[in-house]
Parts: sequence; structure tokens; C-alpha cells
Amino acid sequence: MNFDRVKEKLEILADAAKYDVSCSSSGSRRKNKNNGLGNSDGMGICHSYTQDGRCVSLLKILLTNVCIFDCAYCVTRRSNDIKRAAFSVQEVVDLTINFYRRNYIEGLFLSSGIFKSPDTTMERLIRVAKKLRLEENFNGYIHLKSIPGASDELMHEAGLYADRLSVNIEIPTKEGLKLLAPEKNHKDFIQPMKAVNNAIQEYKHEKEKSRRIPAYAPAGQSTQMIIGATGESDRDIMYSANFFYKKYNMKRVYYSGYVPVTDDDRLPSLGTQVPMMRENRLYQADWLIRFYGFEVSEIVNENSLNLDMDIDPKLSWALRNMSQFPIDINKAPKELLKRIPGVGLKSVHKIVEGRRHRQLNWQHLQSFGIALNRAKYFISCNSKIHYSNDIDPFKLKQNILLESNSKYSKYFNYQLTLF
Amino acid sequence: MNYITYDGSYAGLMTILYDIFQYKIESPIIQSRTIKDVGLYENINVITCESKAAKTLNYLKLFLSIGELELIRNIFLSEEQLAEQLIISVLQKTIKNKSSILKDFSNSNVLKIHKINKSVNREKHRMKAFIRFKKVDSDLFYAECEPDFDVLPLIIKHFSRRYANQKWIIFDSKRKYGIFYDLTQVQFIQLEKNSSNIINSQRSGEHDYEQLWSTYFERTNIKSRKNTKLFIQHVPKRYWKHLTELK
Ligand code: SF4
Repeated sequence: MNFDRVKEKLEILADAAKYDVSCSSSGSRRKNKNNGLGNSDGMGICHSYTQDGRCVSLLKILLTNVCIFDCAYCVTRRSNDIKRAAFSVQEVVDLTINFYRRNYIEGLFLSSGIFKSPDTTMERLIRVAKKLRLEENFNGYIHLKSIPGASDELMHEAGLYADRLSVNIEIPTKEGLKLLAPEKNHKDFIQPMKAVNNAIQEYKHEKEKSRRIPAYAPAGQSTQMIIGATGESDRDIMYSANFFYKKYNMKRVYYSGYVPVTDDDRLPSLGTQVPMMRENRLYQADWLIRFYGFEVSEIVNENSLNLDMDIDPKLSWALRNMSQFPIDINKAPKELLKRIPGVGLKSVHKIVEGRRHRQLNWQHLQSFGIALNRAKYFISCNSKIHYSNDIDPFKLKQNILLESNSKYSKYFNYQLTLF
Repeated sequence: MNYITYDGSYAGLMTILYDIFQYKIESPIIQSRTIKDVGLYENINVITCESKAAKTLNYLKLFLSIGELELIRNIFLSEEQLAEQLIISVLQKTIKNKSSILKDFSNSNVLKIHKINKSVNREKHRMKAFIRFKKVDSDLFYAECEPDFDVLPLIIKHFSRRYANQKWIIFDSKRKYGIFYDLTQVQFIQLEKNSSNIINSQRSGEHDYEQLWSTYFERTNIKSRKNTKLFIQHVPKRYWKHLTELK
């Protein structure tokens, strides 16, 4: 391998791939077969972190940044005047194996600009994965980006070698997509998702009949949406995400605050702040739906188009639904405990186990690590002291904000000057 | 007061538990392996006995799940001052009650144990993440680390499964011992001073891969999202000297 040449390519093709946020390597169990190299044990490992605190777990690169399309939000777009490069299949294989052997990475995340046609591109991505699995006996994690517009047959083949497949929908609304990627069709994104989802279901079905069916995209599908590039509301975003979760059994939907990469009238100008807080709130809301039993409509709806920026979405929901509180820590079912602001899943577990031995009081709750500054207004426990929850929600919110030393408080100084 | 000293091994601690019950020793104080001489007090020295230890562990299996036994072991490997004391006290209670008390989160010792366990598990996880192998002569992959707790025994399974077809050594330079996988099994090793030159005999080309990795690391960063506080929280500075990309 010619190191200098590969280094140069790596500089270009890692740089162009970094805006894709789905770096996780969890959710796949792949055993090390026949004394080969590597495994995936279900829990992803972040081997390092970038200066912005995002996890580095996979070698995330583009096969090439040559692209025939011109999507406005993308660095790789045709009309952008940048250096172009392309890895050979063998170069990607060598990089992956050698990084993996040194415990730098959990595996490979391979994406690509669309050169020639979607099918030619997809076929080349598959060749890398196939070579890793069949020739190198590599059992580490492989995530392939599905190319919008690729054929069902190729999508089917991709799932045989990849742990996860993703098509990034990028723009949460159809209108936004039309504006920013006019050459692309909503259908081009949906079709590969559909093909992969069908195949996953099929294999699952077959697996019930025979155990010897090979793994098919065991970590499922994911997708990504860029946040803040078009004027969409958080409700638009969450409803779109929900559609993908429900309809195509997405394992994850990622939200990526738009980083201005090119000057384009249709987009926020260069130098615009990345909406990190909004991104963070969307992830919190996403968790509430996936793990806390909330419905999307409880979090965002006609009356709450956007998530609150100054408080987390669970607290925000609680303040809008004061009649559901206080919740009795010693009696309430698990499902209700999960709805208390400041109480996480681990604390729910501690409450449920702890109350079997004795009635729990404030001290116990504190020792469980519950954020009492938020939680105390919404619960009752084995203690005479009760924090009144019939304060008007607006006032309650101010109390909580004043008491909590939010790590983001610096973003909300204007709050304090209001009162 | 009953002061008990022992050799500091896990089997030793399990032997103590056996003897406590055998000889009905009331409220014993276990001397951590770092304190050698207690002088003033009369102390009992428990001599490690593999068969007593095995019996104790077997008996504990009646009440504790595999996960709970692992948890106890983790506490031991934490090298915390009070680790032995905590272990003995909750196990004594467990045996008395004939059922595990490890889920009673309203018991302060139990909470302490879970807290220590969390730190040990985090360190174990970090070692899985932050180990960086270098390829040295004779096709050996070598890594050095200095974990906060004695977690090498806890990562053997992970690395031997993952790197089944390469020889590797992970060396704990703080505790001066390592684990060595020779393509069939893992053994504990001590490294002599002069073996360090084997380790230093880096393969040509090795530096190139380190450079490629550093290049990748640099290029994957998005400058406009910089958040140094978060970064240091994830990768505390004490780990940096062993991380290829941060050296
Ligand atoms: S097709 Fe993909 S790589 Fe090409 S410009 Fe659009 S988003 Fe970028």
C-alpha cells in the first residue's frame, strides 16, 4: 500500500464523511467464526472521541466524493469546487483490517458519492463488504450506506454482508427535499428502505423455521435527518421520525444539526451556529418515545409545535399535565414512575427493587441519584414533607430553572433577565 | 476486635469468609493487603486455601446469580480501601438471610457496592476502548495501559474472542503484569526489564498506520461543533499518553 497516497485520500474522504452522525456500532451480535478476526458483542465500543465530544467507533469514510448529483446541503455536491478522490476496494479493506487489528475501531462505515449510477456505486460498496467477510474472515461491524435509487436486488445482497444499512432521508419534509435536492425523488429514498425492511422480515420468518438461516442486516436500518436547514418544526421532524420507526422498523433515527458547508441562497449562511441544543432536545424526545412509553402526540402537537429549549421534554410534558401528579413512589406502577421528570430508567429500577424492602422516603430517593430538584414537585413518598404541586405551572417552571444549575444555562441568560 | 490479615488474593478473601463462619468470628476487620503490620492488635492470619475458597463460592451460588458473583469480584478488583470489608459484610448478611441482599438499594453498603461496581465496569469498558496495539516483531501485537483499577482479568474474554487470530500482550505498567494470548490461550505474564527491547523493536511500517489513524482522527472532527469539556469528560487526560491519536 502506498501510504502517502492513501493518507491523502483518507484526508479527503474522511473529511467528507464526517457529517454523517450515525457512528454507533451497537445492536449486532456477530461471533468470531473459524478463528477469524473480530466480533460484535451487541454493545458498541467508542474507541475515541472527536474534539466535539462525538464518539469514534467506526472507520467512517466515503468510497469516493465524486458525485453526479447536486444536493444543496452536501459538501460532496457536483458544483462544489473541491478536491476529489476515490479509494480502491482493496485500500478500504486494508485500512479496515489494519485499524481493527490495532483496536482503533469496531468496524467500517462506508458511504459514497454517487458516481456513474446508483447501482454501480452500490455494487462497489457491496464488493468491499463481501471481500471483508469472505476473503478476510472479518466479523467486525460493517455499516453500508444504501444509495438512493439502488435496485432491490443490490439492496438485498448488501444485507447479506452488512450489519446495518442506512439511507439518509436528510430533509425531514418532502417540500424541503424538493427545494434542496430537486434531482432526487422522495421515492428514491423510500424504495431501498422498503426493500431492506422486506428482506429483514422475510429472513426473520425463515429463521423461525430453520436456525441455519444466515444473519441478515442483524443491526437493522437507520436513517438521518438534518435539522435546521429548512424551516421545519420539531413536530414535522418527530412525526417523520415516527413514520420511519413504525413503517420501516428503523432501529435509530439520527438528528444532525445542520453545519453550513456551502454558500447557497436556499440555506442558512456560512458561519450560522449549529443548532446543538435543538439536536439534543430531539434526542431526548426520541428517547421518551422509544424507552419511556410516550406517544409522539404527547410531546409535540398543534399546541406545542416546537420543543422547549430551556427545559427537557419530559419536564415540559409534566408541566402541561399537572393533573397526573403527584405520583406515589411506593405504589405507582412502573409505567407511571417512568413519567416523573428527573427519574431515569435506572432510578425506576432502584425504586421498584428498593420498595420491596421498605417504604421509601426522600433520603432513599436522593441516594438513588434522582434529580430531586425537578422530581420533588411531582411525587409523594413516605415522608411528611410534600412539595406542593398545585403551584401554577409557569411559576413551577421558573422555580425549577432557578434551582437547577443547567449545564446549558449559559445559552439561556435571557431567561433570567425576564424576571 | 478481630483483625484478620491475608495474602490479598480473591481465594484468600473467600477463605476468610469460610473461616468466619467456621469459627464464628464476630465483626472481623479485614486488613487490606497494603497494610503489612498492625502491631498493637492481636491478629489472625488466614492462610489461603483453594478448597475452602471453592466451597464458599459454591455455597454462594445458592443465593447469588452469576452477575452478582461477578459484581463481588469487581469490588475486590477495585482495590478500594474498604472493599474487603464491604464484601464480607454483605456476604455475611446474604448467608445469614439465605438470600441475596444485593438488590436492596435502601441499604447503604449495597449502594456503596453498586457505586464501586459502576466505576470498575467503566474502567473495564474504557480498557476495551482505549487499548492501542502496536505490531512488534514476530507478529505480536503489544499494548500498554495503566488502568485505575486492576481490570486486566476482566477483559481477557473480550480480547481473546475478538483477536482470535493474532498474538497479543496487554501489559499493565502500573501493576507490572500482563496478559498474553498465544493463539490458543491466555496466561498472566511478568515482563523482565530486558524484554522491553523486544517490545521496542517496532516493525517498519507500523509508524505509517499510526499516522494514518491520527490523520483519520483529525479529519473526522467538525470544528464548528467543538466542545472541549465534553471531550475531556469522555477521554480523561490520564489516558492520553497511551492513545495513538492523542500522543
Ligand atoms: S447524492 Fe449524496 S453525495 Fe451526492 S450530492 Fe447528494 S447527498 Fe451529496
